[in-house]
Amino acid sequence: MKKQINVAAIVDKLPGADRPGTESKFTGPAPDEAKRLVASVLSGGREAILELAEMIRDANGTGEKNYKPGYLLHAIALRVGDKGRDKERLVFTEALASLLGGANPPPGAQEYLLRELQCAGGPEVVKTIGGLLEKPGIWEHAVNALVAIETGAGEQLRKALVRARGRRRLAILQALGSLRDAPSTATLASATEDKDENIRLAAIRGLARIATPACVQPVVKTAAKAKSWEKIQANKAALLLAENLAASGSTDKARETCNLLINANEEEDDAYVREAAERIISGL
Amino acid sequence: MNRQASGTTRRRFLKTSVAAMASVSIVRPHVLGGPRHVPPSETLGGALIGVGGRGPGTYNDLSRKHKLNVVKLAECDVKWVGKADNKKRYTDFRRVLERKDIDVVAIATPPHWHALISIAAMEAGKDVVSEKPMTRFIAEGRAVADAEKRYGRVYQVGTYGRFGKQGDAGARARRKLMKSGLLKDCKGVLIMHRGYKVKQWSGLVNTRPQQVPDWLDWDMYQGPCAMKPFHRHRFGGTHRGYWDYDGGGLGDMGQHFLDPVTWEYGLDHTSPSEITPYAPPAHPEAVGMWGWVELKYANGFTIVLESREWGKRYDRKKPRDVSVNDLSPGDRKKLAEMPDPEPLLGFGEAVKARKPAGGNSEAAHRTVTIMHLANIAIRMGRKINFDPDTEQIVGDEEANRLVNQPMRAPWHL
Repeated sequence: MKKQINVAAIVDKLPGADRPGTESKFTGPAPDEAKRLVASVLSGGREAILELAEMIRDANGTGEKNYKPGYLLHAIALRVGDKGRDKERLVFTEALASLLGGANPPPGAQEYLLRELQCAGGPEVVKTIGGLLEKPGIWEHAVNALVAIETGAGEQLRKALVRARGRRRLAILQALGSLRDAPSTATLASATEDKDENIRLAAIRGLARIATPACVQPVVKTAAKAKSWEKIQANKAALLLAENLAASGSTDKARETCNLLINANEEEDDAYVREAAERIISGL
Repeated sequence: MNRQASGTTRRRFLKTSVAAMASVSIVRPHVLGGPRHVPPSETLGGALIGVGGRGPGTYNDLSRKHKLNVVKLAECDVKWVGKADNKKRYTDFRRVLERKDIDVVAIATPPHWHALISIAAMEAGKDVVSEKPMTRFIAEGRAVADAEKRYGRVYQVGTYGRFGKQGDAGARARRKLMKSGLLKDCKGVLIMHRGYKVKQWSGLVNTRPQQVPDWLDWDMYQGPCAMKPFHRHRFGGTHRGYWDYDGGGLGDMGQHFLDPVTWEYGLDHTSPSEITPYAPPAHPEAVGMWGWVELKYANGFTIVLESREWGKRYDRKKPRDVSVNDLSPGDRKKLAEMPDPEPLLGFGEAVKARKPAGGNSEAAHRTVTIMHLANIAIRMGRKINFDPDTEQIVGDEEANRLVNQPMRAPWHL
């Protein structure tokens, strides 16, 4: 049974900002004192963590009443992320996740909790975070947290992509590429035909990272028809794809990618691209 | 989990394929990608991205320090909302890099843009001088180094301490000794308590959001970082105090202090493997105080960074030099027969010769990685172990998440 503790009193023991009452810097507590304060909260278990988290009202500072609990919560995230503390980490992350998705705490506080889960969260909170991918104001932080956690993130992002539009769709497509999410290959290939240049660029970058033979045609096709900035980025994607194919043993596909890229860059100004492709071929 | 950025573990090195030498007087330098010599009379097209602070100095160094014949064709800055003409002045660096008449780019933006713009410039066929610190986190540095090699471009970080160091006979001897591979159990300890400006370049912890000035593109300024409300302290020099953009005084000044060290002690192709910090718990947003960080390499050599602005002094090890006396007589003889260190190429010479500059991206990356590892250890408040080959933190997933951090779309490595 966890002991009853006074979380507000623990928060009050933290030293204040250097010039109380004004926007100022922070010298922080002595490490041993910080350890004691963190251990005190953890000794109160889930209830103490919830009480502390609910004291946070905004993600981006609004005076000492807000930043002190935020600072202490972050110190706990760091402590439970240390080796051999997975049980405490699970209590911590599941407590934070339980506060996400509703009307309370306010969106700014939920943003802050998401950032802490980006530090310390694992697969146990992925589903909850996935449910925030449509929530105005915090979906972008949810994307970041999922990319950081990785395990299980692809499924959540794929689900959310179906209804995503605009910048949210771009962020999710980019995240799927960052995760090298192979089940998204067809979706990314289709997105290379999108009317939005940023969507097309996120798609070819993702395909270059997934780097299966099925990724070759959509990437090289984009490189062949793109102009200006998109051309520069498509050339990069094709070179990266060839490197990754070569590294995974698909040397024929790597060579094919390079040769198609060379043919798609015939102008004098493109000599450096052709030479980059030739260097890859010479290393096969 | 593997947090490498590019998705490839291959290390590519510049190859010396022969490029045509004909028509250099009428063909722009960027057209000829391979090794070649640029005639001294040839004029290069230049651009400056990030015009505040060090910007003009960094750009002017192209001609003053690097002796390049360069004409400025474009400048770019996010502060020019409503004033850019997209011919000479830009707010979006991508429009600058699309221009095929630009050969060399000087980058002096805040640090969170250094890697992305350096990479993009090399992808566009440009050579690059970028202000320090080279990067914001470790995977960015690996991506810059990969880009330099992939595209056969020339990169130089904007710090030159190693160039001065190579004139010091003692430093040359130490480099030769450390690079020889003969020193199996190095007992060297280097304690550095330079001016890290710890308090001066730390962040505010209790700010209130402010109105974005109408002359500033705040979304573009934030770039790859998670979007945060505008506050004057996050902009214009004091940005150094926020993890979103830099690593405080250590992250910002460390590359100056450590650039000569990594050359002198032969650490250009490796990184520390054990990093032990002494600091209070870090704030998640604002860079704060720290006492010292001990960084030990696999060969035993140890660097200690000591702030002397917070907490107790470092007392775990005493300073100790490395010397040929650490070798057996037989190994000393072997060392004497080895070649001396090759002189470093300045950026201008490297551009003309199409060879890596002395402060090339691999060397600069290994230097800035020291600060990144120190800051990760400070932020974690615990010892971390780093694999210098895979460039991953071992056995600490939370710390490893700072090696390659998510970026806000559309920005990515």
